[in-house]
Amino acid sequence: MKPFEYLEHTADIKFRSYGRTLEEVFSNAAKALFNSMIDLNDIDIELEEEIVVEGGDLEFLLYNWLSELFYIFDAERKIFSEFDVKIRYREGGYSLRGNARGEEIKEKHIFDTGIKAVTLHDIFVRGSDSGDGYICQVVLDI
Amino acid sequence: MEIKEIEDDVWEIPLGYVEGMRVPGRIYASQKLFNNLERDAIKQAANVSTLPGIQRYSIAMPEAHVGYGFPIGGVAGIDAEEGVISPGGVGFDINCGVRLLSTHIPADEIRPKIGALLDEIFREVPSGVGSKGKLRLNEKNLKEVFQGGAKWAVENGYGFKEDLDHCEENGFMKDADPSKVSKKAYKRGMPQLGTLGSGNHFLEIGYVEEVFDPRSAEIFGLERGEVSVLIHTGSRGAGHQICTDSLQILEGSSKKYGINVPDRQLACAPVGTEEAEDYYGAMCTAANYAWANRQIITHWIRVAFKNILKVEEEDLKLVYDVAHNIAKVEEHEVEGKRKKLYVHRKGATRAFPPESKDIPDGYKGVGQPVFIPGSMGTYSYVLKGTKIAMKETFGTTCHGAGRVIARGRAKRTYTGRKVREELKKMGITVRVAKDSILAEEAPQVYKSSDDIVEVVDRVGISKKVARLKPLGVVKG
Repeated sequence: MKPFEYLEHTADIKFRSYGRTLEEVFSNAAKALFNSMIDLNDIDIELEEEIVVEGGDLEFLLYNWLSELFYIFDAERKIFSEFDVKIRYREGGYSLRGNARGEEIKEKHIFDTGIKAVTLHDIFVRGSDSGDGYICQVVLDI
Repeated sequence: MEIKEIEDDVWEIPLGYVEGMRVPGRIYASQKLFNNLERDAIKQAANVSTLPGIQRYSIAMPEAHVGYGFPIGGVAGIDAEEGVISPGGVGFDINCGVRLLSTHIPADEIRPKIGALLDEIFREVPSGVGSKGKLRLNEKNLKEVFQGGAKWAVENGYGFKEDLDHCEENGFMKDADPSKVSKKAYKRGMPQLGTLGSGNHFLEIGYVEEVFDPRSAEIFGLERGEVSVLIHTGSRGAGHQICTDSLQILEGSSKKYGINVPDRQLACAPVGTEEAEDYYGAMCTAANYAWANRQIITHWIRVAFKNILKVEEEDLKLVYDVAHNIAKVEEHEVEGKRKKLYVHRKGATRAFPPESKDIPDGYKGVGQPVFIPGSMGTYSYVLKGTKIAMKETFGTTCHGAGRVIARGRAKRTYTGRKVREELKKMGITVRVAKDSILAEEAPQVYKSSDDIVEVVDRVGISKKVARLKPLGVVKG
């Protein structure tokens, strides 16, 4: 199973990510986010960040997870290529605890597209058609 | 359901095209542009018409293409007493906009020095992904920027008092409320003031190649053959974060107030509620940040011109500065009555007519200047606002060329080197952070600005004043 793929979108970036578990889908979505800006192979593992977000439903949890990662990228100038995710359901919503591994932005990093934000447009998280995993879709504003 | 051309270049999306439409949709497009219009963009324009309080019709401009929430090129006038306010109608890049500087420098004089001039501008104005600004702001400074916009910039030595008279809202919105801005937006905002950004943002040196309306051109200070500068950027990470934060809150309030939106990006809150007021206060701070940003960049461009061409900073005059991603409270006539509306413009430009109280005194005789940037290799246009725009489109016209080819496909189809060579043949020099950006932003990936401007001119929601031809472009 491929971890993620980019779909045709005129002005912005649309991607889908896949996984056997929700955790894997969320982790692959984070990879798709960073991969849209820079080759993941160009990111060394030198540091780790812990991220905790919540969401009333899975879509909102995904939006908050990716938005938080993007915030750390833009505000703290860090990029990531490896992720561990744990998702828990509690009454009224979901919570996610994630670890992101990567490094600080350096001279050697040359970026492709500049992303402005993660959007809620056309966002979904659902079981895959084959029934053995999950799939999500996200549009990034650029 | 069929979309009919109800007048020349005006198409109607009928009620019922999507469920819950409160008013019909209206698309301004020639047959050619309509044929190429994405179905999803039409659907998005129809979705907008489900927002509570929307007046008359949901509007799509000729460059319309798929966005998120609203289409890009989308306009909605929403009742300021009984309607809603939606960040989906403004976008993440709050007050992304364009300003035009005019000079009396002949184009021929600049051609031999264009490379040196672009290098100097590239040095002066930080651009590209992850670039840091030259300013060192603390939280207190940034709060002043959020409050004061371009006025803050001028007071701190970036530009002249006269510049402020030539900005929409005089370069700052008084409803800005920095206390509604998150710590995260502050953190992103501090290092990025005075940066161009990336994507479709650019600085373009060009010249007035053609004048269609000599009287208006003269009043705007534009003379054929003379150099001009276009600046296209917005509110950077601060604005993007403010929109991200607001969506988190407004998504909840749509549910809380029982508003059913067909796209979660259209999350909204009823006017007058705490959520709506907080968003508007924060949106205005982001708008002010963008005006300060364009003002600071203007100053550095003046310095670059002074260093390379030995002209005075005052020789670069600000013609005007327009916002094309914004929501504003305005009064418009609806069914014979004056009504206060939140006019949402998402990839659309205010185009107020002659005698409007909201345009500079010097322009009252002709109307508000409007700038329509083309893509890297194509013409940009200067237009003026009209009475027809007030009557038909809540005083609004188009904003730009509009993409037709996705970035991924552009990169597979064109190479940066080839685009650079083609542009060179056309007499256009470019400076970019990375060559692949040239492929992504190749002239062919945009609709022709000529086609779009022809439609708005024919329909009369703005009129052509002059056409600018690019000589050099800096892209982030």
